[in-house]
Amino acid sequence: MTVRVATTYLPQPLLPLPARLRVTARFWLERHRRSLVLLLPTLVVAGAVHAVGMGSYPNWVDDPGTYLSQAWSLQYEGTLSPYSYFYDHAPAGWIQIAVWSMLTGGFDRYDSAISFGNECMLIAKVTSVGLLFVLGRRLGFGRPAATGASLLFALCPLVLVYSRWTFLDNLVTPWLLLAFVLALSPRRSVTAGIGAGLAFGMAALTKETALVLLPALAWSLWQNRDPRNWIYVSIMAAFVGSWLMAMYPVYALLKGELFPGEGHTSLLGTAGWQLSGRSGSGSILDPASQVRGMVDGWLTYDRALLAAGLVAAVVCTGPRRLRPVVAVLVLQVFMVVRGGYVPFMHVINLLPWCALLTAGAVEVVRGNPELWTGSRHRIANRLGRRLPAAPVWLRDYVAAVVVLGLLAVVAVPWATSLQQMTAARPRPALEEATSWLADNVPRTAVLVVHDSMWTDLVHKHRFDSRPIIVYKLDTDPAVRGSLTRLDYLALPDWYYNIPDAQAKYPTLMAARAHAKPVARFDNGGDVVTVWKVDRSWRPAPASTAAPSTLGP
Amino acid sequence: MLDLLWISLLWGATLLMIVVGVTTLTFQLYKWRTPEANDPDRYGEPDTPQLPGVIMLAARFEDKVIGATLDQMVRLDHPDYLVMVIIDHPDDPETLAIVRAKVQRYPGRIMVVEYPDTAIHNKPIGLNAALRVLQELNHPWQWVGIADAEDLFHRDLLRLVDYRFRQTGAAVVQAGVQLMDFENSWWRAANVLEYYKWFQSRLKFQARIGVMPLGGNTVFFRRSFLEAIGGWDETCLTEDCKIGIQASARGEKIDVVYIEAMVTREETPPTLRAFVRQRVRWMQGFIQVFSERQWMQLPTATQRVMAIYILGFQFFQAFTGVVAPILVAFALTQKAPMVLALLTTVPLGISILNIMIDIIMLRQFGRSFGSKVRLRDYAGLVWGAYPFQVVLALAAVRACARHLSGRTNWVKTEHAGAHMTAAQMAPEQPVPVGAAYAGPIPAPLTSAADETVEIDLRTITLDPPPHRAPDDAARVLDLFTTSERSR
Repeated sequence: MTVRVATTYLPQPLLPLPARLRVTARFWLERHRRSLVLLLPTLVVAGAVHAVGMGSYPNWVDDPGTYLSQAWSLQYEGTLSPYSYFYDHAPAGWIQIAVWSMLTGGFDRYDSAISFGNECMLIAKVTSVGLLFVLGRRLGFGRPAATGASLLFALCPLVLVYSRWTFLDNLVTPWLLLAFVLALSPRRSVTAGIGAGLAFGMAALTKETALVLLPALAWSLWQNRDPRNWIYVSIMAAFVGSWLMAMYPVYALLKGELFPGEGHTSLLGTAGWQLSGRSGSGSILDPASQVRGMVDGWLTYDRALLAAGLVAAVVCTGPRRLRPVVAVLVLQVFMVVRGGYVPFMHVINLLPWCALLTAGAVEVVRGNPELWTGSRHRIANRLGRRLPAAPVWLRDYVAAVVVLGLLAVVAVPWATSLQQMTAARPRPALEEATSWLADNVPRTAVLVVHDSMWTDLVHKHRFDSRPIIVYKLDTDPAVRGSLTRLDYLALPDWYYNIPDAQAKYPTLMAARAHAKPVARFDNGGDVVTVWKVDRSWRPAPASTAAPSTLGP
Repeated sequence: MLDLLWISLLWGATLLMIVVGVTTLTFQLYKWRTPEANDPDRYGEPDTPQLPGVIMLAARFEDKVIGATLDQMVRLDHPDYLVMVIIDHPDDPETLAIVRAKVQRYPGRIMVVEYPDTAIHNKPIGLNAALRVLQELNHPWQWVGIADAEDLFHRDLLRLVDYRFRQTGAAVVQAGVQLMDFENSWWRAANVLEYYKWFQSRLKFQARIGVMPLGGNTVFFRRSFLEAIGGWDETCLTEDCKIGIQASARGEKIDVVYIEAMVTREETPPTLRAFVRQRVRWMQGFIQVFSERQWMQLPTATQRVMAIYILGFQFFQAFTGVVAPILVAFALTQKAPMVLALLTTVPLGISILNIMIDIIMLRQFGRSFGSKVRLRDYAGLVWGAYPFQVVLALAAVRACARHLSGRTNWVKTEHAGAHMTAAQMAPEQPVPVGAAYAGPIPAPLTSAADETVEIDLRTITLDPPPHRAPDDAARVLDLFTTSERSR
């Protein structure tokens, strides 16, 4: 039986808007003063750790370049990609980047577009840290625990590496956290429900993999329901979120690219390939598998947070409010172990939830009664049954031991890693190669380049000939169709050295066989060589190359 | 050039429709915005009533229902109230006879007021006549409630209203009215749900922002407010809307109370034609109120904008529903820019969402009022949604056309003029025959008029109220010398 709080509804006279805002702001500050005292310094620390050194660490990889070229294309050409958009990802991620750039002139403010991408990631990171705090509070954490969750996420070296790269997953994180924050709104208003639906829709449109978390979000929303308006909260959240997500297939439909067909890319065609056609990354138990290599790669930066998160998930199954969060982590871990394709940056989707659950586990051990208040009316009858019977001092003692133990484990390795990651480093080789091309190559030359060089060559150095991003060379029919010659190849050396290079990049390999190196850049990371292709060489006609029209 | 024009038109239409759609949703769901707003106990527990009051009931050719109504009206749970039945004595002897019998049966509770001897029959004239009588009798009263002849007030309603008057200090308390018969015709469920949404959600929103066209009955006015504005506007097609805007302009507090058990239950209009006619009259009344510009005296700019919106709401809403699919079709066939094409789907989405909400509300309605909702009622709601919008849009067009051509005279039914001379009939005067009077209509009355005019109040018999020509209708308001006239 639920106890209803009797409230008398009185129509209030409306104050003028500015006065209302002033009053609201004052009350808000008053209410949240203590949280702000903890949160603001946390945000400053998170921002500083993220920002210092983000220009030179980690090394440049291809995806950020791709997304930035697509954002650039949206801003300056009004298309979703400089090449044929083939629905590899829903476009909201680079639409957000493009909107931020349109508002602030992002591509003009930095020497390199990659730096602008870094700025976007900084904003996403600080937002995520703040939202983690709020989500912690809404789950019932005390302020120290919520701050702890934020700090774990802000200071973990593994988080730092992956959150500095311009990956769509980094833009998904704040939207997902926001969706949960709104789903757990204490006011339980229809507006909050709509917000949760929209935020989740944005997450899914930013990267469609967020869709797997829908059950967890729905669970949270359902847990926080109130019978007096639940029906409208749920229907509005569901409808608004679905409608927003539906914009993606509707877009494809309007373009005539929803269904597979001859001579054009299609959403369903690509989705089918992504879901079934792509080879899996193998089993995590197989030491030689791709996924194992990837996970080992993650663990070189840090093991503590992932391990703590997995252990904490077990502890956090106790309080019902935390169970949807546990479900999030379980679903994300399942994506790794199920044996399907696992993207390199998937770890990003695990870490905020590991941080949250680790702090949550400490709260469980400490016996924070707020955690058991799934709904405020249930405090009385749940509290007695669920709390461990241990006395308060003992619980506090154990919690303190856990916190100190965690600190002892991570303090030294994290400090060392962070020091390295925030230290000054030489410019990435790819950036130097870009400058070299700008200084030494005529603007009419046809270049094959790494993704991260493309936007700078086009936007800043005005290569009218439109450099070709390497993987488009053999995958985009439009590129192949208009290709008559190649003049320069500017790529990290590993492109030529991977085992399946001949299969993946036949045209590139053929061109390099007729080229000689003209410049070489080695700053400790990837080595980049610029090759000049012999003038007499001509690429093979389109029909003989082009192994696939779908993606890398 | 033409392209540009057409694209900007499409942009404008789409954005306008999104705004209308979103605000419509906001209005409809206002009551459910938070759990507390929909708390069953939010109105508080009424204590002992303290304010003496009056229920005014304007009746015309209501001999079939008035008896039952009065039997209920005298049994309400309130220690001090009087039911005033306003009847045109010579015009309507049958109703009068029934009411007189009830006066005998419930002495001191019911009183008959004679409708002024004018050619026009409308509700505000009758109500003002009753107000004058109260004034002349020096009867103590603190509030007036308005009822129609077929309205059965809930037994506990007056206690609650009395309590809310004291609790909130409101000048007006609007209690719920609910159409009940959603079965039998495709449009009735939609009509029933309109009331369901208006009285429990939309009116609350309007009360909150302080722009408030009121309902026509089950509405209660505080004495000081009525005296201050000098009664009802006798020339307005929708005097209820008008008086609400007057209250808003004065910054008065208006309290909206919707408790399912206590709503006044009514029936939908008998035919679709009657429904359209009623709706055209309302819409035209809203246009009239709008063009009288009283809303411009509203205190804040926000309220003035909202007034434009609320008075025009029926028009906007009617057209949004109709235009939404057409807009999408246009965007698709005419190769509109992608962003615009995607945006045009939003109003369509909102229309679909509205249908889903209607289904939920019909289910809630069925549960709250214990009526079984059949599958075909839901089906009718779904397939009738678009035609219903078309009907509303047509009514809106008709109302605009009537207003523009200056036709404010309302079609007379045959009985209205049967006993009047040509001189008494002023063709330019409004003679509304709408829902408020849509009771059973007897054969034309030609019997001798009842010449003895008397007012029964306990044991007092008074002189008849002075005869007034139609043109003098407004002047009667001067009886209220205590206040400034608001017009």
